[in-house]
Amino acid sequence: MKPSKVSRRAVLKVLVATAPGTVASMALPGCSSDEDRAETARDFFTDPERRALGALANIIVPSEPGAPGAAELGATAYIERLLTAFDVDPPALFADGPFSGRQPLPDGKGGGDALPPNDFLRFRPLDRVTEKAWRIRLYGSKAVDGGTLNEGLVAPVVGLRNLFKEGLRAAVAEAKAPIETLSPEGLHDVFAGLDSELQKAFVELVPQAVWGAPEYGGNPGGAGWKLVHFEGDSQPLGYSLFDEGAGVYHERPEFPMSTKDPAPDPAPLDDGTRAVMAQVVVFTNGKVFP
Amino acid sequence: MSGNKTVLGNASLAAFDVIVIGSGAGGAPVVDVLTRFGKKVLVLEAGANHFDGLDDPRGLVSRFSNDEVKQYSRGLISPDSYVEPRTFRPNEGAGDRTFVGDVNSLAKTVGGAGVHADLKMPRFAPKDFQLGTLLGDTFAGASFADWPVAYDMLEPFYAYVEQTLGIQGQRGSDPYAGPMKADYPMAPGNKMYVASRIEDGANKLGINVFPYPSAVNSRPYQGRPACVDCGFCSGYGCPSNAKGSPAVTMLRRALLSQLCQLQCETRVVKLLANGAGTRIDGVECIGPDGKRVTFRADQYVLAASPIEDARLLLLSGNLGNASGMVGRCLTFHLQTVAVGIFEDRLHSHRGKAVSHGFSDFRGVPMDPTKPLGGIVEISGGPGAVEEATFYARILTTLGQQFDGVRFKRLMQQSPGRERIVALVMQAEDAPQLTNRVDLDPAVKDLDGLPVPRITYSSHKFELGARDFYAPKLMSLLQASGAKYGFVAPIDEISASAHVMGTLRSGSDPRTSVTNPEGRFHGLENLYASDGSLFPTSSGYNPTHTLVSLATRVAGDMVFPGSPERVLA
Ligand SMILES: Cc1cc2nc3c(=O)[nH]c(=O)nc-3n(C[C@H](O)[C@H](O)[C@H](O)COP(=O)(O)OP(=O)(O)OC[C@H]3O[C@@H](n4cnc5c(N)ncnc54)[C@H](O)[C@@H]3O)c2cc1C
Ligand code: SF4
Repeated sequence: MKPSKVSRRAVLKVLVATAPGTVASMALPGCSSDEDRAETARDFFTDPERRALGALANIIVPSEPGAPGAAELGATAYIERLLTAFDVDPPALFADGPFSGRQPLPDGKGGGDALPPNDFLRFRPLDRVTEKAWRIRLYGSKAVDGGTLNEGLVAPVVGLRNLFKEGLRAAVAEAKAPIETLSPEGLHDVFAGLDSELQKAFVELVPQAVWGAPEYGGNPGGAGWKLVHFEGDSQPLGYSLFDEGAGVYHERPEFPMSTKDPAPDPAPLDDGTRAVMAQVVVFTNGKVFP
Repeated sequence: MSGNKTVLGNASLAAFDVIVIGSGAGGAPVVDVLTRFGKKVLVLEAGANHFDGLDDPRGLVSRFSNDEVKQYSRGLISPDSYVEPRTFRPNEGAGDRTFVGDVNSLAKTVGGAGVHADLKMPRFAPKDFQLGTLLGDTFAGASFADWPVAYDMLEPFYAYVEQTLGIQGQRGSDPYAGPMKADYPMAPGNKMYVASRIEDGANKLGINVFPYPSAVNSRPYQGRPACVDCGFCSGYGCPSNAKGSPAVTMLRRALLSQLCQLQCETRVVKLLANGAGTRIDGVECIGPDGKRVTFRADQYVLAASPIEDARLLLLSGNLGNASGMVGRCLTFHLQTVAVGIFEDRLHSHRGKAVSHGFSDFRGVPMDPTKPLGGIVEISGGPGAVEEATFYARILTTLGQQFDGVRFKRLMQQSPGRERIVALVMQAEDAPQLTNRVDLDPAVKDLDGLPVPRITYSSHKFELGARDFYAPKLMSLLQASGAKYGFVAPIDEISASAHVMGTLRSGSDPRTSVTNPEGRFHGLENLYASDGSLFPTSSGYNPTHTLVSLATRVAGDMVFPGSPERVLA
């Protein structure tokens, strides 16, 4: 836990998550360019399951005209690559570093334009303990030798592979039509009928896919970052560029660190977001300042 | 088995003067000092290594990156509670445990948590070392004690650490701070825009905002580049090594000395004592392949962080515990987090998490108009994945159905990254005998060893300070122009990464575990050198004091009675 960032420290940590329901969404084809992906196995799901996965992921980040949803943003590939992480060596879990090659190297003069190679395309090897933990997470505690550590004290871990495979298999089998062709209400019902752990896994993994580094399979070409006006990984250039000759920092005019952004606000708070913030304030006994 | 290199430094060394357990902020300074004075040192580190060339003079390459999936979502260097859980209960009356999982775990990697801390490094203030005298028994249930070292004794060590790690800051800018004989080696770096906005409000209220001292280069320093304010600092290893963590400074220097060998992915599971229980004869470890192995040396230093230190002593037959104090007086900082959301965009994710703070809420001992709180960090926002987690929790709590369209709008409009500030007060945590680490009676880790159990509840002392200062933090948010403000509720299981106490140091063997020099009472060749020694927690981030104290412990091992001689 980080003592210095907002995130999990804030109110939301203590608000007990209820199983998510669904909203209307449209099915969309899978993700596009593979240029910035590391190669891993991808044949865990059948085609109908994969299409169902995309349609259900769109419940978390819906597709809209001109604004892609989770399926277009690579949620299926991200999840499938996670579930098959051990099919490659080293397992495709922790991308290497330090740089992705998306940002240039600083030149010591307060600028820079030479791109470093993309280290994120490789993966870090796992140590004995980390490997065991991830095998348990993906395959389930009962499927891993020595994985059931505290039987009777701690519930067994259901592996993510089984959770997704069985959940999608059943959903596809039970649906009256291919899931991606269902009406928004029909999709909504399928999602609500999923195991609550699987629903939670969607809520957790889809954002990772859409806004994590593209090398994990989602966020093709940084499209997820663009959608939300986020610059993504900034190294090695960063935001403060040190000029070694002059001994001072310069900033990037379009992405300043210490002053206001020059561009107009691309997405001001709307009434719906204000309503959510107001509810958070009520929950936490906070204040809307006049 | 790992594909990583698991032996760093001089692999041919086979006999050692000292074994250091843990390569983090408590271990690295000891290894550095001892090797500078000719000792052969073996470092045993449970975690894996993510630096290339840490032991190679030709170059150092970090394998950390601006990658949220790797570090925030999948926890590259965090102990995994599926295989290394801890347990928790608020008090003894709550039964064996109320929770199994992640409880205050620090990083497990070569270099420890200093690798992914953003390393805000203020010194403690002189009065922080005297709370036993200044507060006495005023607060029932609290065990305030004086430190066996005073600020003046630590001052030269603070100065040494500032130069060695490379700490940026502005001398004299914190009115509560103690005297500094030398300047920081580097001026403060760039100010985050969010800090300027809070300073606007602070000026109206008479609050003094200053640049937060941090072990981050604001210019190229000792072969490492200037920080570029990349925005992924707290919780992330630095891709360019601009962060002067103990790993890339002190530990690296030791590894280059040819007098140090570091075995990673090697966890010490037992200290082996002689028959009389007065000396340590060896340490039993589980190595990278899962097999047991024993190492021996003349002296041993425990620097595995307070919870694991205590656990190891208890796993070793309750070693060093004649006082019954092992594991007790565990302290964190009670963090009061006031969150402000602004109407306009502050791009508060750009920067090194915190560039400025203020100490006006640190308080004055025994002054009811200024209770002892702590330094306040003006913290920026997270990356997009972490931000999404924040909204997902809100939406799954507020609505029956997950409102995907609103989720997307929240991400696009970004109240939780672009427009957010968190004022984080790190308040003094009253030490209590009942707040402690012991071994869980039933829960085991992947190697079948009992896991640490944390019994912990906040004291009225820090809860009162929180009640006192939280409205003031809210007023500051308002004065700064925030639109929404709220104080995050307290987590029952503290998530603070500031972990202190458990092997309290003091002169009296009846009330302390270690002596003023960090050596265990009754164990002639065992020392501790991390935050476990702290008798009280202060209201400042702990790591500068921890590293300085560890340097002093090592100094005393080299020059008994004259530890400052190692600073020359
Ligand atoms: C995200 C984050 C941000 C932080 N920011 C700040 C900050 O800004 N300022 C500040 O002052 N502090 C900060 N901290 C806290 C700071 O990191 C700690 O105070 C410091 O690292 C503690 O040092 P340590 O040596 O006690 O423990 P660690 O640094 O955790 O090192 C202990 C090492 O021992 C190893 N170990 C444990 N058990 C064993 C065993 N049995 N055998 C062998 N090895 C073992 C561990 O793997 C670990 O590497 C932060 C922490 C985190 C997690
Ligand atoms: S903000 Fe600076 S010190 Fe922190 S990780 Fe980025 S470059 Fe390194």
